[in-house]
Amino acid sequence: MFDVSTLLILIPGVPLLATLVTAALGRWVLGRRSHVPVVAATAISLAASLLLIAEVHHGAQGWHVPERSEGRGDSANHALRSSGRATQCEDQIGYEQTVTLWTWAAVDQAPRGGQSHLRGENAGWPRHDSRAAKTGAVPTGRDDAASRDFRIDVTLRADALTAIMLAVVSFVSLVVAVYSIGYMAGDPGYWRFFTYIGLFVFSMLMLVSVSNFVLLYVFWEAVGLCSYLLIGYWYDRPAAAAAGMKAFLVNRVGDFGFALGVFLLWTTYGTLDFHDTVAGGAVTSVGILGQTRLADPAMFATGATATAICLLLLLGACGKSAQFPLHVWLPDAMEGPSPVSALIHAATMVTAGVYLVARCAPLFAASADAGHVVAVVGGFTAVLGAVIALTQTDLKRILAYSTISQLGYMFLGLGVGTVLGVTAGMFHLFTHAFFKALLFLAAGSVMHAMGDVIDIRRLGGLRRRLPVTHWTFLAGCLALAGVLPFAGFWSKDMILAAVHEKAGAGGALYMVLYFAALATTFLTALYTFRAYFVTFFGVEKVPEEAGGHAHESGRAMTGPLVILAVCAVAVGAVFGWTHGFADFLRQTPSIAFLDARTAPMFDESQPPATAHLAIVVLSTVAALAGIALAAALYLGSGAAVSRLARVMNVLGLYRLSRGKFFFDELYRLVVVRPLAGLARACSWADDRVVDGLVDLCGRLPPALGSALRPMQNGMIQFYALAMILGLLVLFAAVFL
Amino acid sequence: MNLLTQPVGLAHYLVVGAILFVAGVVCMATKRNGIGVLMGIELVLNGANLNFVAFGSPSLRADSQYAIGLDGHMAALFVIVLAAAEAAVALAIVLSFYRDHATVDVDEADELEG
Amino acid sequence: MNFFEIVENTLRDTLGPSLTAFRPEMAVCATIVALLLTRMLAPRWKSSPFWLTVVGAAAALWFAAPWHYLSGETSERAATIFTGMLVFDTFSVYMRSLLFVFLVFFAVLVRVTGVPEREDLTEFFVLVLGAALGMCLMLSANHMLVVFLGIEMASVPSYVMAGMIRHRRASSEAALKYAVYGAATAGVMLYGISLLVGVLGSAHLPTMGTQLADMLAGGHFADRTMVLVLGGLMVMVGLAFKLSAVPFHFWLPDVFEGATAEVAAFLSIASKAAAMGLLVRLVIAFGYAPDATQLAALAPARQYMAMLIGTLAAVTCTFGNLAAYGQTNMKRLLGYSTIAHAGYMMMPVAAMAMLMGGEPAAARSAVSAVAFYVAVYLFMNLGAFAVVALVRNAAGSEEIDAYAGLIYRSTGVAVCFSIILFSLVGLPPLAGFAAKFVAFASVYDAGMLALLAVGLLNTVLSLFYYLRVVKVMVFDTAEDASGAMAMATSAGLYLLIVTAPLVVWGIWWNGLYAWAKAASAALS
Repeated sequence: MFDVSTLLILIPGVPLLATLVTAALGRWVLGRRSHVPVVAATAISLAASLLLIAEVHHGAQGWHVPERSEGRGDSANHALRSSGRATQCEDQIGYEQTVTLWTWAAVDQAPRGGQSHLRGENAGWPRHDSRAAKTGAVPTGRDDAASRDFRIDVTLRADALTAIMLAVVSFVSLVVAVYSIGYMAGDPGYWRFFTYIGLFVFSMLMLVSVSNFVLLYVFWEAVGLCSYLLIGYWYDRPAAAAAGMKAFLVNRVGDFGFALGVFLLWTTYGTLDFHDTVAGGAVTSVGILGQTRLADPAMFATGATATAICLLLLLGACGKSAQFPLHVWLPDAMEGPSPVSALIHAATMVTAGVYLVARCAPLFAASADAGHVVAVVGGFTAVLGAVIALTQTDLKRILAYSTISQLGYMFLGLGVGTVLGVTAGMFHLFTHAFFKALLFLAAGSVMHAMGDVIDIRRLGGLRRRLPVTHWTFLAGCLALAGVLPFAGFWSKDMILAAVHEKAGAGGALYMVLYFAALATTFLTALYTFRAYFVTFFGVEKVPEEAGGHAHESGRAMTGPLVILAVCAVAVGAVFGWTHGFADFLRQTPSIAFLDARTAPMFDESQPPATAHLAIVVLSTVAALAGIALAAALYLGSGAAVSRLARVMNVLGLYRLSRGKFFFDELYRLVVVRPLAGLARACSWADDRVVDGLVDLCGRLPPALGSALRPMQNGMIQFYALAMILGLLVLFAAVFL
Repeated sequence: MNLLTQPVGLAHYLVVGAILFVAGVVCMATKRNGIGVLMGIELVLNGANLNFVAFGSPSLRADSQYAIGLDGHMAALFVIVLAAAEAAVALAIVLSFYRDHATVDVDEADELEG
Repeated sequence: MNFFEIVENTLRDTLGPSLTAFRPEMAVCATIVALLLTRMLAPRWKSSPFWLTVVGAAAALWFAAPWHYLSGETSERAATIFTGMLVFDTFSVYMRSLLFVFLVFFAVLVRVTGVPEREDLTEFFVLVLGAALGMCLMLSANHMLVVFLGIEMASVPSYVMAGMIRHRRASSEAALKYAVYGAATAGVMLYGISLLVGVLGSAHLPTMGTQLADMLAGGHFADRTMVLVLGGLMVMVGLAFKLSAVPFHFWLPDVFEGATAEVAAFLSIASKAAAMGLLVRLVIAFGYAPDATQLAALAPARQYMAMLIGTLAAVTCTFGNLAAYGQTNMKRLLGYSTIAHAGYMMMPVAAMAMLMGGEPAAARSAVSAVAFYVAVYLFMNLGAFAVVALVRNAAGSEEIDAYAGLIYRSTGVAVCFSIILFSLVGLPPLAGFAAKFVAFASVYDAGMLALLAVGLLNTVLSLFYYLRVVKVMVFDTAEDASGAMAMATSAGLYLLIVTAPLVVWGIWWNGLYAWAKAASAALS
């Protein structure tokens, strides 16, 4: 019915149209109905994305995970391969299809003459020249005069990774947009909100479907801009404005790294396209992640260049995905409206960094060091986020630190660098999008009912007043904690399995990371259920801001909650147990490449989660222990004590219920104090050291500027003198 | 070589030009009176003019491969005209400044700064 | 050759190719005459200056016929006209066309925002067109005398324009500073020209280049090094004054603050573009010779110019961006921003000087980068100063504080201004990014990595003060909160038209770049 190119244009095109319509007509014509274009557009995008998945799946039928032949990448094999290049389909790696819309820029660079040493050392290209000589027909990018032109086509691509991201983004966007109808009702900037949301959806959809690093960077910035606009949406709150600024500035650091990384890619590979450019049946330009290069891993740069590229890209990813040390902006970003937190700062935009690393998996595969760094950053951030989340009292901030921690998980999976690791990271992204969006929307629902109070110390026992919110929140908590049938369990286990597998293959580093991940599982369950119990159990506490008529939100808000809750319950089991997600994702060229390259030690005939029963047991125990500890600590105060005793009686654990006191003391002494101290230290380091550095960088230029300005003293004779002095200095400089 | 013992040649003209130039620059950097500054500029222009005329003179450099001939004289003529135009405009501006500030002291023009 | 033969040759040359190529300038001259006559003959027709200027500039644009040359229809290479005084090639066509496009937009801007005294409108436009004539000469200069004439013709009317507002202390002060500083640099430059011309024995630019090459190759250079370097530096002083390169920039912030926003726009765009074109011409003249051995002999000259221009560019850029911090006056801020952008624009020129010897194609693409940057810069600054003028008319202030909460009082203006500011920073997907990209790509090609690093660092630096203005517009609230600003529809429409290219070229920069490439095609 629709071919891939139509779908690819349709998916981001419709939200763009909706944005323009809302921007133009929202204020005066649409008014209260400003949501209509955006909701309709995201629905269309979602439908198109699902069709695209089907198309990609269908298109990939002809392709199977390649037999692992040792000869792949072998040069003997290679001459044969490139001679048959014209008929691409049979031996292509993974499935991809690209659509070129128009040429954005074509800046011709001169063929390099004698100064080629300026291009940097030839590191990492040991076989380049001989190879080019051998195959002749295929220009290989760097040093090749013909392909020095800097040319950027606006090209969209369809492959499994993109299709999944498109579906996730459009689905969450649709749900959040519907939710916002209720949440933002009555806000004076209703149309403005939906304009921003529409713009964000467009940018995010483009971000995951472009096939070029420059365009990726462009939309990377665009989603950052939307994030900035939406964080500061309530511009009249100083905290919101400051948070928007902070997000923008911290992201600049990451983006600077990303930009340098893109630059280095250009100098190394001589192109910025992901895909090969094919003209007249011959490959005219070899893309960085194109089929030609994937077929011959020797064409990837190695050594210091590869590591530098990967680390710079990682810096960009860390900024966007709030990884240590650039995570400081995300908690502050919670000043934005809750739907924004759910959409941008939990489900979609912050995962752009994960997408980037997954997309560039072959680049990371070329540098083992970079892979280790990704894993360490991820593992450390996972623990750090979880530890900080333990002591927060603002519900949305708990969730924000939780997001940081979970993103750390994803990076950990990606850092493993195996097919299992990357698919696990992406799978966690997938499940996390549902349950974290759910948690944020539920938190928003609490806020909405409680008159914008979000401090959990002022809330309590809300499960009767907000039944739907309560149940859906519980589903989200269980998914986040990784309890067996819920979504988070499957993906988290896949990551643990991947890390364990890597650790088994030798690597004390990964063993440490494995235990860190397990500890995070425990901590995650603990803080999640702490928030849950304090908010929904215990004495009913309703802050006076609620105005005495706190009640469940309307259907526009509860509907999305229920839908997401169903997803949070089911999505992991459906796609994790059946292995459908991983199988589909492995058709992505970048990931199929890993498949072809790394011979796993892991038997793929069985689902990974069951293969590692020990891991399942360990992580489940950790999660349950966390929940139990949370229950023990936070259900036991005030009037809840009697109920707690009853629960304990039911469980036949009367002795333990007495011992609770003892555990409490012990916990306070052994766990709370050090953890609180650690958390405080982390948060202090956050506030002082990391923020301080950022502040310092911000203050230096104005200080220099005001030091220079007295020079402009308004005296014309001084100006004349300066002119003559300048002349003399330049004159002297020539002869000295 | 000692210029004083040489017959008058190109170098002598250039030295006079250079002296005019330096005098003009010093004048425009030190005079506080706006008119004085403009006079300094005239000196600079005339120093350059003297160079042009000397370089263009057939009796001084006719034999050289670097003779510029009539070009020098033409340049000098153009510069004289331009200098007049510039002086007229600059004097008008000084006058307008005088009307607003009741002074032609360029040091008084220090309200725009920063 | 007797006298009559000379006259006849000159006549044939003049009436044939020269006048044809000179039609745009003649159109400008005719417009000036028409403006003066109309005021005499039809004094009641109040809006005549505006209409005549628009028609005149449009006619000049028509005669400049950029489409003919830039679409490659005529493959004419560089031709010299008026017995070698001027050169006529695609670069001059491109740059002059930009200038005339700017003149049309500028006239409309003055119409939309108004000048303080309406009866001065004729004089104002005569001055504008006179300066434009000088700029045309700068852009196609092929002779040192024309270089100097062009600079003076462009400068002298500008002095008067800066002081157009009667009875305003700041205005006359700005004019005085501009005139004194401009005249002083012109004097220094003229002296430098006299030295160069005298030592090299010609005032014809290509001849000067070959003479210099012979001198360098022949080895009798040593005793003249000092004079040549001094002369070159003094010429550079004159150019640096027009370019507002540090440390010859001092006039600019003061003049911008004292003059009206419209005049500031004219100075910051037209005069900068012309100076940039002239700089390119001079660097080519002294760094390039068609003969291979001469070309090789000129290597020290190229090296020297690349270092000089590169250093000036780096210092200018950094100084402009740093000094822009903490400014409270919008025009002053844009003044420093202009200085910084002059630095960015000089970077590819330095790269060109570096590349000209071995890699003509790369050098050409550096010229395209300049041409591209100038075109984008035209619209960015035109838009920015238009906003300043509109806000001045509506709020009566040019301080940054007056922009507080602009987004609520006049959403369209605030959005357009934000786009312009983001483009000035060089954020994608706006045209400012494309311009910086091609400029930095040339610098990289030339292997001037330190300069590249300075450029990138400055881009980051500049982000903060531009963003501060956006912040003021979006987050601060005005103390009087006087509701919507009265903005004419024409003003909004104008702003939209000026801002649109920034977005369009941002997403489709190849369109403009193809022209910029054509512009550099005929050079060397």
